[in-house]
Amino acid sequence: MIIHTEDLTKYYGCKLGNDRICLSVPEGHIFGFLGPNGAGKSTLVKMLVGLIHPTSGAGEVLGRPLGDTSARKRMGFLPETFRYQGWLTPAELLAYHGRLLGMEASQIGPATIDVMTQVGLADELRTKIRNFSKGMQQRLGIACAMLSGPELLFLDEPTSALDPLGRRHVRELLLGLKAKGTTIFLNSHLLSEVELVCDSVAVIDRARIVASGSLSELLTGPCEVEVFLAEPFRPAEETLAGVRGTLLESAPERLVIGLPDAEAIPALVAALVHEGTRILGVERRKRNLETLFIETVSEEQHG
Amino acid sequence: MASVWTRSAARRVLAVAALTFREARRRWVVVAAAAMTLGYLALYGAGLYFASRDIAGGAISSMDEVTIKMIGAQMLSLGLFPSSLIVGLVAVFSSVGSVSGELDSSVAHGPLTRPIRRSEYVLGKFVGLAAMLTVYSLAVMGSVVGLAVGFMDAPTDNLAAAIALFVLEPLILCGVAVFGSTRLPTLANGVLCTALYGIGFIGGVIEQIGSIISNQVMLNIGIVTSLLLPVDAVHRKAVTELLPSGVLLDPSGGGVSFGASAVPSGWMVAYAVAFPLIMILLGMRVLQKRDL
Ligand SMILES: Nc1ncnc2c1ncn2[C@@H]1O[C@H](COP(=O)(O)OP(=O)(O)OP(=O)(O)O)[C@@H](O)[C@H]1O
Ligand SMILES: [Mg+2]
Repeated sequence: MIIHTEDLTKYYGCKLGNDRICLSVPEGHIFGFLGPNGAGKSTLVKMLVGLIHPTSGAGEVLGRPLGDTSARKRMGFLPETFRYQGWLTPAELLAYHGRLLGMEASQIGPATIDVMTQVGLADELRTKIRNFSKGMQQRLGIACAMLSGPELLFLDEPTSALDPLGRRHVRELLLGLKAKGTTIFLNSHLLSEVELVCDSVAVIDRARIVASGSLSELLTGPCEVEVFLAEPFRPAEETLAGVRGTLLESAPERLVIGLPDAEAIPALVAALVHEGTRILGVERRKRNLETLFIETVSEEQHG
Repeated sequence: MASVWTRSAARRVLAVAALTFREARRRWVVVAAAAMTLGYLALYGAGLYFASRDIAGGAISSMDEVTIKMIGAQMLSLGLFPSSLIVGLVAVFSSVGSVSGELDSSVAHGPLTRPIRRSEYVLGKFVGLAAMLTVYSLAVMGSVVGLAVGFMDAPTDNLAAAIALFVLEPLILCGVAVFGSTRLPTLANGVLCTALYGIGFIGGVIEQIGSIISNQVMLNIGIVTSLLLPVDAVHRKAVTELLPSGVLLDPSGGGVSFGASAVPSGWMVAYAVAFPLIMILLGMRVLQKRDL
């Protein structure tokens, strides 16, 4: 486990920021950390990168206890606020970070060009950061986080200021990094994005983890199938019972059937065909991250 | 704080220091101060020039060698105090936001998640500012002494020691301001440091009057304020080092605050040298403990 926390708790005065967070992130994963505004996502990341001290609990990042500076050589961080010295140029900024990282002077130049190219800012190496647009500053932040080719990247809402193309670009960037073995801790509330890149996720709401696991695990479970028919039809009770299905909706030429899992879909279709109906289409109503998110977060609010 | 002083740590401190130095040079306080300083030096130089011309031209009748030397020394000692005041204010205002400014704007989140200890960061900030202030105060105090010696042939005694002490003054203020900025917002820190500077100055005046009228309570007040901020003590020590003894017209140096009665002890000087370092160590501790 590249990140591991045990009961990590943070109080801001008497306000709870994180409540007994237990997390493990395996190496090589893209880990999505989701939650509504003010849930405590940034709080956890700041503890993991050592900007704030936990009130209680413990954690390890890259095999070192939280706050240890030596592990930071091997990690990168994009803060939620991504602010940099406006009077510097990206080349100067990255040179500064390179020196703090202990990189050799001869490595810094090529690494700078490499990461700036990756985020699409290769032409802006000598523009003052002050003159950058917000999205450009965020891209620069991503470049800065990637400078030393870190094993572990913490990105706190890396696409909050980016346009749709930029988002897609970052998505591809993340998948590319993952292919090279980088572990990525991604804070986000953009569920569709997380769904597209993450291997595992955790959902935090009001300082507590309310769901966690691999994406496929969380998204399996009961599923719904919509069946379109050539003519009005109502399946027999026994047919449905045979596949442990329940009829949720029944319009004359359309059925919505609930199943315990997606594995039961072929059997259901076979049984319906066997009964003699003509099927025009079958659509699986996908349980997606959004449903999961809304369920877990609103469950909390009611219970 | 048992940190191992390694080469890589030194490199990181230097990286922060170099950036801080570059930033300080282009800050408006420093640019404005540099302009004002040039104006002030021009004015001072003009005063010295006209005074020297009249003396040389015999406009002031029958002045003997000793009197001329005394006037030279007087003019020099007059020029020192405003100069050190300007340097001191520049030191305060260039340093009060050194850490807090970067924390408030969250610019510091970048560097402080790199493999640099927060203590190294604070030290780097101080070193960068101290370098800028050393250059600046050397230029200012050097010019004042140079002008007075050049125009008026002002006598100097222990020039090197005096200049070193003049340079120490802004470093003391810088140390306090950097320490304050690890905890306080920039504005509050600025107010606090300026007030402390003022208190130290008043304390110095009280101590000098105390020394003239031999009042122990007043002397003690001066010692206490010097312990809080030894800038004024260092200034008095610097003036005594610079001017040969007995050369000033009156023992208080032409107005209590400009001169150097109640000369600080060697202990006070040692304390003043250690003072910025103590401040920086405290600043390191404070920043280490704090949430960013
Ligand atoms: N410095 C602070 N002082 C006091 N309370 C804080 C501080 N920082 C965060 N909080 C509180 O802690 C809680 C969690 O904040 P956090 O920034 O971690 O949320 P988040 O999940 O990152 O939200 P967002 O999606 O808006 O970025 C919030 O309720 C916030 O009010
Ligand atoms: Mg956040």
